[in-house]
Amino acid sequence: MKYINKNSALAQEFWEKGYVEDCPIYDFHGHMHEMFGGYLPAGEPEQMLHTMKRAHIESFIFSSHLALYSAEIGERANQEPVKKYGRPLRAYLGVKSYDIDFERDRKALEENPDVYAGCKFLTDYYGVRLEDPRHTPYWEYLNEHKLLALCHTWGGSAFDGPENVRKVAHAYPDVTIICGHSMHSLWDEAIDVAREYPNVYLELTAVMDDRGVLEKFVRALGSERIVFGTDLPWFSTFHYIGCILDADITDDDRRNIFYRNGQKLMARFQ
Amino acid sequence: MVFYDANLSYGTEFNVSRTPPLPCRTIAELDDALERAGVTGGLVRTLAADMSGVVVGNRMLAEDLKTVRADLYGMYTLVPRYTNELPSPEDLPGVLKAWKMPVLRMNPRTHRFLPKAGVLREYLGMAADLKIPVMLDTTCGITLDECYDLLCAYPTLTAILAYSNIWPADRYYRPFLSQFPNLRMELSSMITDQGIEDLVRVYGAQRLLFGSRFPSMYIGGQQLMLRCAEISDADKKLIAGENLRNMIAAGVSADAEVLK
Repeated sequence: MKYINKNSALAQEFWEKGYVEDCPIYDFHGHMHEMFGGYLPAGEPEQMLHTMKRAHIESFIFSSHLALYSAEIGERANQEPVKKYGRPLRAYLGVKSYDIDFERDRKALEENPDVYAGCKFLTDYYGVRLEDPRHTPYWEYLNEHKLLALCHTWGGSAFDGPENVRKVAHAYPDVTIICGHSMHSLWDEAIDVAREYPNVYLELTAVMDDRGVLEKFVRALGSERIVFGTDLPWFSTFHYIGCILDADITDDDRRNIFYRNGQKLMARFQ
Repeated sequence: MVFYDANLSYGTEFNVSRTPPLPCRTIAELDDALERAGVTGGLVRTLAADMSGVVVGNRMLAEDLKTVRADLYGMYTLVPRYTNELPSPEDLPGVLKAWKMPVLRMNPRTHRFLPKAGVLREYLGMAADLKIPVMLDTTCGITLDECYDLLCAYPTLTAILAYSNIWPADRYYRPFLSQFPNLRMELSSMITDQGIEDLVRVYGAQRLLFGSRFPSMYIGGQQLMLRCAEISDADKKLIAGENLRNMIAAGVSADAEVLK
């Protein structure tokens, strides 16, 4: 019996062991630690590293819930796990729109070049637009240093919808903008924005529970501008791998999404 | 592993905005999809029961079930008895058996009735007595609050809770597993990392059912998650399909004629 997708040789390989030696995973959308809005059975760094090892995750870029939501704890929650464990961990500095202090954050970025790959913008949660002037020094810094920006993006949002992404993608062409959740539900607009701006990538967290969206992205955009993400420790890496193996795309597309695109984006940090 | 999927559907949605990107319009398409994914059988509902109506839809599903290769069982759609559209609670078990539809379901918002214990008491009482499973699916016109109230009224009901919320939602659904001993949880939306392992530790594998919610969701996601879960092979087999088959077998329609 063949499972998941009898037409995919890669699916059959993953079924055997849960990972494939020459198909590592690059996860561009992670978190860590306790989260106010739900119970996470495996949110501590050691538990997550266990999952990463089993799923053959070669690169995992995260921003701790505590860095994003706790002004009291802040970037310690990102820095300590990366310093303690190193690869596959890298962090996004949380741009806390409710507690902006660019000098503090610039110092954190510059003093910890081995910790950070860029910044995380969670503007929908904070009620502040991506392009808000308070964020300008962050965008300028990311642009100057050609870093990554993982942006929570959601269809219909006044803070991080397609028009907000267009504004920052246009103004800061040297920032690699990873659209977390791919402007969820406004799939056609997400494709349009990615077509318009070569520095925009679509990311799959919370996309894969809508069967058919990935196929739509790949048909319209190709698979070179799509990166893997899970919100781990929210969502199971294995669940997301299984969804991508099930999707009606080629194994070559799957490899682009699992690691090839990620390797290109992360090459400078290795 | 032998997979039986507890949450399948097919049919044509008339509200275009609710149509999934890759719909599954016919039971033949569903049959092919199950074969592609290595799923042996499962529980299926037809959208026709919600689009055309319960009388037409239930009969259509019964006819369609005769045409498939997969070992599929139907979910029979209920409305309250007061309009006499469906067989009486006394006659319904025989229909379920004859039609290979051993599970009841409902869509109160679409069919416009109150999902209250008193409104459904004849059918739910019969289901509780005969251990006929009732699917409570929050994508089908019933809220989690309403599910809870129904189960409080029928705490021994054999029920399947399909809670459509991928957000880590243990605080919502664990009270159901704790308080209603005959409730099983369908796992299509439970995609939290290490979530299956944690539920098995607390409640045991017997309470969990593999489900995909195909065609709205991928089958392969939940398949690989279960395959890689850090639980025993015996527990994986229970969740993948044995629990669902046992559940069906415990109901009124469980006999050699119905279960292949």
